[in-house]
Amino acid sequence: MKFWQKIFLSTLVIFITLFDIAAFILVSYSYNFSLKREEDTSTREHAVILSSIENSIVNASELFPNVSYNQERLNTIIKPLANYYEKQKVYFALYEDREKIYSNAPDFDIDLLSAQGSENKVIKNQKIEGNRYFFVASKLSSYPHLTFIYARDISELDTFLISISRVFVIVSVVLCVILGISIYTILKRLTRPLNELNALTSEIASGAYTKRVNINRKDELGELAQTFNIMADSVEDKVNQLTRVSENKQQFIDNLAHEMKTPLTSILGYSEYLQKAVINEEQRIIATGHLYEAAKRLQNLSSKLLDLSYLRSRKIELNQVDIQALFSSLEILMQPTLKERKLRLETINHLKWLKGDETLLLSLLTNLVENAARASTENEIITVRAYQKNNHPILEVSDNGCGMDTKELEKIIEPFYRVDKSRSRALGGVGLGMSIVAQIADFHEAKLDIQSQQQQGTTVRIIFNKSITT
Amino acid sequence: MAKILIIEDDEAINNLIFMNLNLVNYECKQAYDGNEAISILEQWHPDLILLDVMIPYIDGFTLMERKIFQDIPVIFVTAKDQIADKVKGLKLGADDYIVKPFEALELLARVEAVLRRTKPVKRKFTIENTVINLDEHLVTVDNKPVNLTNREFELLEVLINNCNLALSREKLLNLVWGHDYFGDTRTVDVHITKLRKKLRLENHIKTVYKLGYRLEMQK
Repeated sequence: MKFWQKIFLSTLVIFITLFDIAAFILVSYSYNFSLKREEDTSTREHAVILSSIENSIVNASELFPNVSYNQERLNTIIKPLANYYEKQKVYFALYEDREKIYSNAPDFDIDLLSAQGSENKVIKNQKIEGNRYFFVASKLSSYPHLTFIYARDISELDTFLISISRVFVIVSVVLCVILGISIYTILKRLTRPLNELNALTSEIASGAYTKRVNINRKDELGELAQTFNIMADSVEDKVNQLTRVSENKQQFIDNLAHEMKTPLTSILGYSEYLQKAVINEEQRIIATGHLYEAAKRLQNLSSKLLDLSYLRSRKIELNQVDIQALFSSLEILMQPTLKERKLRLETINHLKWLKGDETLLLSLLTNLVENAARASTENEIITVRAYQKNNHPILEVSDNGCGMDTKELEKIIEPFYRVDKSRSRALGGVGLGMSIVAQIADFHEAKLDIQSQQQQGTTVRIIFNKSITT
Repeated sequence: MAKILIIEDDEAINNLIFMNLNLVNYECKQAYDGNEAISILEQWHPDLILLDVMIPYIDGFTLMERKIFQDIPVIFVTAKDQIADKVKGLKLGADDYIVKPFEALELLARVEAVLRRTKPVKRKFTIENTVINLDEHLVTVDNKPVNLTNREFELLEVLINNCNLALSREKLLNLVWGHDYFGDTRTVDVHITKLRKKLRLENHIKTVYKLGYRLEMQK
């Protein structure tokens, strides 16, 4: 059962029950009250009539003492009274012991005749032939063998009861309908946001992450809608982030596959050639040379990949790194490359130490110097500096090499992007150096700033946080 | 022999194609980027161009679009194996498409196929006293015609097309007898022996250890 249906039904049931209980109490109270009033009137009237009858009888016997008392005389006394009262729906009966002298009352219970004495009244409320009567019976005080019975028609009370009940039933039905319609409209309006939320939730669940609820209310549902939108925002963010990450990964894998294809083509081709072709010594040397190069390129690629995955899985520990020692390690590490390419490395240090990971910083510098070496031509100088600017410690690698344009600068951090593919490949680049640099900078919460001009050279700055040094 | 221009920026792969084509006596020139290719084409008119798509300065597709090669047939050689690129290459008028990494035999077969279609040359070969005319289905030894069965002739043709390159027995079975042939590789040995004897090529059709057979011809 739906929420609104539950509220609807329970409200209606509670209303009907309460209304009916109230109506019942009201009706029965007013009925009893009227009954009581009738009873009072009846007893009072009975007493008046009784005394008047008794007086008449006494007077008659005093006026005509020789006229013996008999039933006929009694009849003449009571009859005019009875006729008079009949119009008011009041009926009399006079009995001598068990014998009827006069009666225009309906047949009543014979028990009434058992009334004892004038003070001892018997009061009874009885329904006879569809009409309700109020009986009051008592003996005449001077003539105890006579019983006077007073009957009052109170059918009106019953009629009133029935009609008022009918009115209540009609009223309750009408109210129920009105109440039902209004509760229905109100509930429908109140729960509409719930339906909207519900529909939207299933839409979002089925992948429409950009959808939002548009509910402007100041109640709990409005709050719910707002919170819901906040949740949807964060879900969308998360989904986008995941999509981006997975796209990047896919891109990385695609690029990697492409990167591997060239050396693999070389290896497959030359090994097949060596195996199957008729070749001379010169061709053999060329072929094995290419084989060696290709294998070396794959090795480079795999070691850089390992560096990257090592970086990704590594838990960083920041220690004080002695910059001077770092630079001497760099010089030793880069010596073979520099010698081969006939380049000079100059280090200028104005920092004592830096908070960082020594191995990672060394790897960062090595990658930058390797890049600089690939961009430079013979006899050029590569400069590595450590200094402070605006309280930010900075590591800087600059060269006077071929440089690159702004368009290329944007892509330089992308894995496998190379400014000059054939040149870089020929010099052993695999296109992952800057990715590694960016990752390491990221670990140190440092910013990467690359300035470059074509044919003028490139300067790469790693700008560290203020807090990382003193 | 046919002249072929190789345009490929990766030196290793350029050399690989060059050396393989050299084996079967094609005359080749190498270009490493778009500009170099254009300058070579100004003085030299090859019969076929092998073209890498991703080359510096002017890429392969652009070269095709600019109609630099005029009516010279082109085979794309590239690592891009996406269908869209293949379609684009072929729409631009390329005659075929080879995806890296490729086998030497595949390369030679495709080059041979395109050349046979676009530039029919006389395919007459002389090895010592044996003269083989593939076009006329005629083989003579000391000017005397030799009778060859169809299979033997086909085998000879495959060996010549891939001369100086070892072919495995399975490969030969595949190329000569077809994919659906369920024969033993020994069939190949029998036919090779017959060919050697009939054509007196004992010193030229060599058995390569663990591999198969190779027809060696001077360039």
